[in-house]
Amino acid sequence: MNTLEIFELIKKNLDAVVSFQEEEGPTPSIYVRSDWVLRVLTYLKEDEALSFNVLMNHTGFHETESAKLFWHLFFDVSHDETEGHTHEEIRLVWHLYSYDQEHRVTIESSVPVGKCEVDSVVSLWKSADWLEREAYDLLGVTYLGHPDLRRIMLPPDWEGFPLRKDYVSPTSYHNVDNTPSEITKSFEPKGKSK
Amino acid sequence: MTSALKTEYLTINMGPQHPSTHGVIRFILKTDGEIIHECDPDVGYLHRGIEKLAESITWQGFVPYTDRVDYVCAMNSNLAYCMAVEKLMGMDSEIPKRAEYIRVIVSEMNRISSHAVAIGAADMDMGAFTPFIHFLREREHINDLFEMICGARLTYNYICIGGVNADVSPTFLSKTAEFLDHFEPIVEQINRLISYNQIFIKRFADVAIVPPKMAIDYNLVGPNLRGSGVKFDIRKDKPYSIYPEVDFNVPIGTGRAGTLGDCYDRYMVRVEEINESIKIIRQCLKQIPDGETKAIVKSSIKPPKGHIYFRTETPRGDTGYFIVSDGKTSPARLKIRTGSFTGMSIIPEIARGVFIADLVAIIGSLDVVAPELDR
Repeated sequence: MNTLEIFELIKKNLDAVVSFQEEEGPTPSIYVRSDWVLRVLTYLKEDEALSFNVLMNHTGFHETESAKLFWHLFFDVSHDETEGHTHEEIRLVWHLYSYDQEHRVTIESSVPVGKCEVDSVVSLWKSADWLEREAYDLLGVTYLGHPDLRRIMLPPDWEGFPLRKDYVSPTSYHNVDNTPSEITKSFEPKGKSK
Repeated sequence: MTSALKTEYLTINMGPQHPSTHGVIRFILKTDGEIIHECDPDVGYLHRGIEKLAESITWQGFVPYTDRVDYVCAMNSNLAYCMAVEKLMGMDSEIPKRAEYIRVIVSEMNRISSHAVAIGAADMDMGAFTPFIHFLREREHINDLFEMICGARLTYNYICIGGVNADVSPTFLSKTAEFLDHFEPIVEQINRLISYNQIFIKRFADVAIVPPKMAIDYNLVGPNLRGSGVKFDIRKDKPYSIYPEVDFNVPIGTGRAGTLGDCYDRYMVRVEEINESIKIIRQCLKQIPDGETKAIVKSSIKPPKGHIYFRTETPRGDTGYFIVSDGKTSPARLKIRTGSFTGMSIIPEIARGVFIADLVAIIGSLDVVAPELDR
């Protein structure tokens, strides 16, 4: 089953807020509003014709270009709660595969940088456990209902989320100096050095 | 009275510097005597931020970093990344046929050397040192052959976006055929030495059983998944490159010495895959055509906007590259989903209630490589 057919099925059987994204790239995807993620993914796993029994990959990325934001498709951007956060969002991606039906699908969602919260899918696939911990660690996404949400790659006392675009490397960690040397700075492209 | 006899769990640190953890991984074990009550893997000691580095270097410049993602099978890592970028650029049909054949030959050679190290290390963890030395000796031949084509022995940077960096010489092809003739009987020799050894089988059989359903739930990939009896190989089921043109079998676990999905099944799948790789390389050496080895690629590429998740079969299983491009000279986001990562995440579940010594068998049979796990 291709992505468009899966999209039509979701639209028919769920009252979910979804839209079909015909990407410029090679992978089409289905965009789901963040509060519908768990319900849509549950449907994708449990429906017999779909039976997506594997979560191959889950991750996210920091989208800073306002022209590509998904957030305003479904929310009133002038609303007070989203004010100040409408220009940036964390885009989340789930790649599902079915060993029975041999088809795959890409589900996308997004959360504003100021309120990075989405439902955890650990109850559906155990592999989501570590993948979500990694996204929490490196991107700062909070998964509601995750049984053990703590840092995985970085030390527990690390500050900040490295994979965000506005992340600045710390100059010291536990009294270990990490200031870039003159030689390191000389390799930086011109215009970028501070 | 019973409360007075209450026992407490003893917390033990296994690692980070432990010979059987294959790199730098720490396990926090809560033990009840010799039995593990709870196992919490503490990973990240080798986290180098490769995904963050990718955002500041060019597309071609990232290829040497993929060598360091998994240094035991660097060719396969190169291939996985390059094919994902080619697919993103829509130039996957432009790759010359000869380059595709060379890519498959070198990645299957690397699969042999990686599986050899995995099998040897599993034997060593079980206390048998000799097979490991035998396998390292054989791996040297493969390293020598790779040195012939690219000058490096472990981190190759040989496969590039658009093809391969240099053509192979006829000497390389004949030496490869010679090596296969020499190596094929050695697999059986080592099987007789260790794989069919009753002491070894007793250590591996019926330990840490992963039923097929659990393997799929935890997204185990590659030999670990096939060890549980799920017949899925991306080379066969979602073929890429020239794999549809070669004939090979997909070995799966059958409960050879005990239950389906135990450590011994995962181990034997690797042994059998070595033989399948030999078969693939032999066919490729026969069929390899003459011609170009690299498509025309600009020195500074800018793939069109969009994202892709591309999977290839590396020795540690299905490695997925998720790449986001915003049309600039470096990736906007790059995420590598590796086989070791999911292989490691299942350990807390299957290590509950086993002996501490069996945890070593579990790590050895799952073939976890720390730099690939942490990236």
